[in-house]
Amino acid sequence: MKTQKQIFRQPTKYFAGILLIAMAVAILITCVEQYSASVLTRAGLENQYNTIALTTEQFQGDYVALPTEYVNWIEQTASEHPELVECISDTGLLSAYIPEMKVDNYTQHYLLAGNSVNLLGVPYNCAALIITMDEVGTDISEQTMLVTCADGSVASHIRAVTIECKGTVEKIIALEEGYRSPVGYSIDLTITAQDTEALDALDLIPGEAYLVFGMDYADHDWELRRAVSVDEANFQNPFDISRVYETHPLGEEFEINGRPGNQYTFYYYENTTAAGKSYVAFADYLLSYARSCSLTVCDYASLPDEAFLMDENNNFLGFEVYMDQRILREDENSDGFLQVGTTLVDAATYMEMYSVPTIARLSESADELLQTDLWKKALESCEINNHTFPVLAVEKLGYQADFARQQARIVSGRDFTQTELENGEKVCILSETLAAANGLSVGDTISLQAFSYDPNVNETIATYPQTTYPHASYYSSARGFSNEAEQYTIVGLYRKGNSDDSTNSYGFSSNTVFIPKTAASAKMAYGTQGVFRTIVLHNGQQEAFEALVEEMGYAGLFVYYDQGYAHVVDGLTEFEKVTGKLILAGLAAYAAIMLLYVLLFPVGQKRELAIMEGLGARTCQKVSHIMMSGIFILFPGTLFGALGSVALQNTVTAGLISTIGIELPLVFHTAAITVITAAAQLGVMLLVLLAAGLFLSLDKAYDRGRRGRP
Amino acid sequence: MIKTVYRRVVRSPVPAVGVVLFAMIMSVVLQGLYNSKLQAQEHYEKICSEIEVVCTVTNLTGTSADHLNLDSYQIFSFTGEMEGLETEIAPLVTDVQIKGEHRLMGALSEHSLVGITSLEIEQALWPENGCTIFWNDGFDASLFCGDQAACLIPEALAEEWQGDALRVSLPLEDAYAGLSFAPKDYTGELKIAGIYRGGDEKSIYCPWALLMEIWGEMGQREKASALHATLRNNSDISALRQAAADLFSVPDPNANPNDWGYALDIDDSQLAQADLTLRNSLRVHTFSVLLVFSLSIGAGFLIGFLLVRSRRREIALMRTMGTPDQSIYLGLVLEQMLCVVFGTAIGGATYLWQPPLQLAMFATAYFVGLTAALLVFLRKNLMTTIKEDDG
Repeated sequence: MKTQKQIFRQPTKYFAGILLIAMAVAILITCVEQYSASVLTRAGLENQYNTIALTTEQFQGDYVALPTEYVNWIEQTASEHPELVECISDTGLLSAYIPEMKVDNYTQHYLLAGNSVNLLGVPYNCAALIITMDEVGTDISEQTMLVTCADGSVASHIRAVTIECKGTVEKIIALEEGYRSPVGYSIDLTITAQDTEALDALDLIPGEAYLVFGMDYADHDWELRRAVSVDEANFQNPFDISRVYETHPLGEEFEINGRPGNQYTFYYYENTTAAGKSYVAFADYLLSYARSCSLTVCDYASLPDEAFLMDENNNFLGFEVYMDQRILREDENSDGFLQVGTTLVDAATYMEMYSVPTIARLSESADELLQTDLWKKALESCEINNHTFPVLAVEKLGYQADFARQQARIVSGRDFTQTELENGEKVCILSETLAAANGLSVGDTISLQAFSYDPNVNETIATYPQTTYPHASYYSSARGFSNEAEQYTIVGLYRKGNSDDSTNSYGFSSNTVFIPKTAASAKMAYGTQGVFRTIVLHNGQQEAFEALVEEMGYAGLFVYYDQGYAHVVDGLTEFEKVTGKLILAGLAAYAAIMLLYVLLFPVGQKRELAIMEGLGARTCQKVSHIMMSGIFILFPGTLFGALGSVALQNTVTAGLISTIGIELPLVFHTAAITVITAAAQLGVMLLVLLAAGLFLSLDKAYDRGRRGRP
Repeated sequence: MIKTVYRRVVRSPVPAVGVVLFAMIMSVVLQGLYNSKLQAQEHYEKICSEIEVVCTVTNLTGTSADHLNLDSYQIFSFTGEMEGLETEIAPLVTDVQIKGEHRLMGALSEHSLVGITSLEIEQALWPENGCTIFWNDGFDASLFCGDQAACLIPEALAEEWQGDALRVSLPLEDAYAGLSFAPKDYTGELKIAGIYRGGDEKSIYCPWALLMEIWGEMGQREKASALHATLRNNSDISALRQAAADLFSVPDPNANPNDWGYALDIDDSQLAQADLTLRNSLRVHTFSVLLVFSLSIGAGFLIGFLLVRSRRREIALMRTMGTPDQSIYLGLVLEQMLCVVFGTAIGGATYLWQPPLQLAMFATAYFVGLTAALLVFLRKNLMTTIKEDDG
């Protein structure tokens, strides 16, 4: 018996069967789609939105870091209320050498970013220059240190002596290329040595050439151009003395000099803008900054060390000075402050590790001098420092305050995926401007080689890491790199509109590279505030958390950012309730319709099965007949049902949303859900058909005949 | 021929009814898909209307939104508050936030008077950036929405200053040409509305509208250091880009810093995400419509095959009588046309026959399939057909 012939003999019946199946499948898929939309949207929301709590100034008092009391309360609350606090996200800081990239040098920008001018350009402010000495200072200032004498009194001891000199820069040996060339600039040198004998030994003579090295090169011409410019375009032009006026060119009514209360004499600098000429008043002392720079020349490793002596209970014992020994500083700090270590090494050993060149008089060329170990080591460090970047290793980019507050955003590529964050994949996100300056784009790779902070390298850097606008540390040739160079793929570029905001407690510079925290393979530095720590709440728990905060009397300790989650979540919760009921109803309706189908079709073929039995058909033939006749209905019915569900989807969604009253950004994976649900129900129905076929086939013909007899 | 076709349909109504039902259902499905597409578009339009698109004036590279030097023309293109100025930007934006400043002289020569429209525009006053504001009685953040002669001063200044009003002097820096009065400095008193701790301790904050009034009295050219606004209607985003193109460029990391001008950074990332979601949804609908057409072709082919198969005796007889194949073909096609058009007309009434093109394409696809089947099976030899039947 050919099954298809049987079907075409009763087309109406089979057409009705197809319609029945189509109806059931459409109902099932529609309900599953709506439910899955609520689940997928919820999951997407949780991934897309991050509710973060940022500490406010109110409780900081005079301290840079949040007082311990509040830090302890936050950590305690996080562990006691995991239903409110998702995590305390700690971001790590690495210093990484990326040879393919040049840094974004702050002197190329009109505006200031960061909290201290002294820290700008760290660590790419090392310089090795050839200068002509113009003036050697005669006033020697002393740097003293305290020592506790045997009788308990405190005496001062000269640690170092300093003189101020002036010179002219003749040639650059090493300087980060982003600085404007200082050749021809006047240079203010602050030269420090252990004592006057050491100073005399430097043989400082006006008119002579010297090779100098320092680690705090500052371009004062940049400061002047900033002060006298009205905008970035004028800032980029060299300072032109012919544009300086002693009186305001526009007339007396604009004149500032002579007005009561002014501390300085003001000059006026002419700017050219689209609207015409504009004049900026600036204090007279700034004129000396024109075409000038400065450098501190000092081998700190050669200077004696002083320490506050503490006993094991942190009680102060007195001051100590080490002439022939040096304190080998460690970096085991979580609050960014240096602590005096207790490791002492022989001064000669210490100097071998950390000495830097200072100033050397040149009789001929500098080539021979530059080949010495000391200079070679210094120049190698320069080169590495000039390509060193702060790398923030994040648990999630959205936890960073500037991203959560939408001050920064991804403008090209994408954010880190959950897989990349969990598996520590070697991917990174850079700033748009840094990528553009280095000809990089999404998909390119860069190599990162990390090194750890060594506080012995430059003692002028008092705190590391900075909690805002953190910079990389100086490279230490004594410690070298922490790992082998690793290749990172750029997956996204960010743009930050507040790069010049020096008041931003959560800022980071455009040199900052972001990587997944799990990808970091070197020791990181941490902090308890700023970019280093974010309190992440579960979405929607802001009010409950604030209630806890107020209960402790800390009202106002936090401000919250949730990127608008609160606006959508109420509607989504309602939608979830509705779709939860809908899917139950849909499953019930589907089951009822399928039961009807089974009763009408497989069970309704008992007579045919009896005939087949009578004709000697085997069980497998009977089962096959049931299956094939079922397939001829199921497949087209499922197809039409799937089409119908796609057609109905938005109508049903609109209906559900109208009951809630809030428009929701629902996530549908229509194609996938339709195919999967259709395939799954088809599989289930085939199994039902098989079971029905077996059950009906095993029933004996004579029993059926007997039952069929009136 | 019409009569013949009609008689044939009436004689065997079941297959005809089947075709009518098929056409009816598929046209309902097609229209349902179209209606669903319209609803998806409507839904996402509503979502998009709720998304806030913020437009921020920045430097050319987009990295700095503060310390700019926007001139009066650029300011008023957003606010629309200049007589004789026709601006296409102002009608498209709302909630314009501005900050401007002016250096002070005299006893306060180390300070600047900063006019702001709200705390939002000045990050230095945000609590998480280390600032706490202590308002005096009768004052709060709404001060900056108006033009009251009051100000917020830094804590350090408050400790030195006696009295509840601050005497400020603003030196003239830049004046408009052709004023009806001589431009001059300004000296006046501002009530102290509150004190702030932290932030930028050299700024004295007053309402932007007040600073504008002061500048007006001085004859001083207005300038702003920061400006951002919100798009009023998200569907106008292209219009805003066009309107802003004359005054602002698009942020470009490769921009030449020597160039004059500013950029307008429009944060439409959420809008783009919603648009992508909509396009994915529409792609599914398009695929479903194509599937319907494919089914229609398949159904037409199947029906054609069944027709020929069930009427092979009749067709053989007609050929014997000398009926040309074209007439046979035409008869069968007309019969099906009657059924399909009737079915589509009934089904199409559900949504008032929209979209008519797709309904017509559905019918056309059916006939393509039917024609293909008829062409394949009508070419068979008469004798072969009869032998098959006997066999």
